[in-house]
Amino acid sequence: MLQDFAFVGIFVIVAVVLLSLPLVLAALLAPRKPNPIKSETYECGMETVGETWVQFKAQYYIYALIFAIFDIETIFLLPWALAYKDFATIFPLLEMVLFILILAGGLVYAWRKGALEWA
Amino acid sequence: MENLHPINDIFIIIALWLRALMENLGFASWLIDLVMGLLRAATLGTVGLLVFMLLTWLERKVVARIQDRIGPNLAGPWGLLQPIADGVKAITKEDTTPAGADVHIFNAAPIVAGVSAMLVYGVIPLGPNTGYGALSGTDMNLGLFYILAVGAVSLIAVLMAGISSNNKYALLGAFRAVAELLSYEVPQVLSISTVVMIAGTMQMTGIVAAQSVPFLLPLFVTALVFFISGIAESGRVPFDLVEAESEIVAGYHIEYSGMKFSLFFLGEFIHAFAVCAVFATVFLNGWQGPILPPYIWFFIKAFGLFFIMMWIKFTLPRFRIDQLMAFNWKFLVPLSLVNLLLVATADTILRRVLGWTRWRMPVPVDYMAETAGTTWIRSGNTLYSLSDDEDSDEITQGGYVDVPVLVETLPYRGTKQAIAEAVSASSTEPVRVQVVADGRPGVDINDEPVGLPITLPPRSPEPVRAIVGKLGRTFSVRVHDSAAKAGWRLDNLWLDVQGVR
Repeated sequence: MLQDFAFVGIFVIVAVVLLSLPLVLAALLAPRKPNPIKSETYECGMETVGETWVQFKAQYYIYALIFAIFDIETIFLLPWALAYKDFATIFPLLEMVLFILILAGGLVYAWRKGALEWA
Repeated sequence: MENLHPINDIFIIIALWLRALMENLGFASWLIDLVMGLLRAATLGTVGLLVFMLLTWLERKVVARIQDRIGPNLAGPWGLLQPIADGVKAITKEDTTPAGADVHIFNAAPIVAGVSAMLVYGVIPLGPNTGYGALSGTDMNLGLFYILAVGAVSLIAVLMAGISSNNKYALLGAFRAVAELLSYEVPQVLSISTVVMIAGTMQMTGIVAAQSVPFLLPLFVTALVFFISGIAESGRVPFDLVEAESEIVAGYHIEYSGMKFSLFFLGEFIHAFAVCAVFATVFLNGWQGPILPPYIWFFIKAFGLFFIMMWIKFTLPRFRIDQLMAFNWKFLVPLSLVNLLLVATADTILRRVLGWTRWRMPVPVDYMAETAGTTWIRSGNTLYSLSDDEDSDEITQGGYVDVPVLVETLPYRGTKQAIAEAVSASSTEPVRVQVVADGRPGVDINDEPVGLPITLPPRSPEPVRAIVGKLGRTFSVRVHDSAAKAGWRLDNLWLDVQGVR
């Protein structure tokens, strides 16, 4: 177990080094002539108007909320799925059916309330 | 070493040779492990980069053919050196940083994108475990969970790029990433849960071993959901709203140029190929296939899947964002929830009601001989001696030998009962065979012994069959040399393992 994650640690370092190499090469080879016009915000040639931090649709936030609910569900689901073959009785399956039905009820509620609509 | 195939196991042989070399040079064992880990990581990283270069060429060729063009054909044969030309161009291009950008996050984002995609390759097995470890970076028992975890980090790279660029379009791209990539993670995890449930493990080699038929056939809907959400997760057409050029110019990487832009490109390709690699492992039997070496089979499957991805990419138009979200939340999520419940119910009915849990496996007893009063049995990599020699590690008391059976790799992880079937057609002496469960003769639920040895008469061509082991998780076949005489021989030994309801 520890060896597995030791390898992952080594792999992270190796991957960072491998992917940084071309950046280092580019930093050495590429020309660097910044000027105020070049480093302006790029909007296809138009001058940018106002702040970058524009207001955005609240819908993004609602989707993030629904996602959080279902992501937590999967946290409960994965250990259950892993232990599934070891169950001696049928009750763990029924419990999971109940759990998923409750969540499906939540999804149906969000659907009926219009939380899944983009408008 | 002698059971390793010179072509199929070439990488294992090289690894063993390097390990032996370092042992002979007197390296400490932790240092050997460290060097081997570094070598494996460097190999995987290099393979990832080579695959990326090949993929860029392949994609340009395929898109050209689909659009009735020829594609790159000037750099090298069939334009094969085009990726190198592109790389040189990207390295020598000016790298601009917009005014007002958060420089550190802006510079780190492309590396995070590439690294998170590359890390997935660390657990994908390219070949079987031949007793010297699987042919993968690490065969951790959390394999699929690890893939989900590191795959999700690429989303953070998109967010970092979008927020640090100080550009409205990049910011909008990052918002869309939250909406799209996050949402499609739900059906992906649900489909993976279905696989984990049927395979009974998250270990990648275990999942391959669990597929007596490719999971694509029994879990077709699961595979479809996984593939669709995988395409969405890697942000490819028709799900590439994060970088939709007709709406938000280039999305989150609008301000990137030169090598940093290429790294985002690399991240996307490597991520898409990682989805194909995981799909090939989880749904298409991984490395398994006839004639060709296992790693070749793996790449054939993964590249075939990537071709399907390219086909989709160049024939379908882009989704609108409301269609995209509706497709996920109103179709894929309910579908995968229902699918999970249906698979669980069907599996329970098949297994618990109809008793569909059986595996028939040969016990690898491939050599038996007698030299100087000692009987030798070779099974797999281990040579067992059947003698009273005190020095040997392998002897077991009383003149019998346990030949282990790897029942742990069977998909059903609960208790099992085993039935042995043996043939002694060329034996001149009677042979006694017994199945041992968890290191002792089998017991039933009341701890009563049921694992009685069966005696095979000499020269018996008919298989002798008996329930000999019960309620165990690991089995071994115990061969009694009851007569303590030369001339006994087992021609065939089978173990019929059944899950206990």
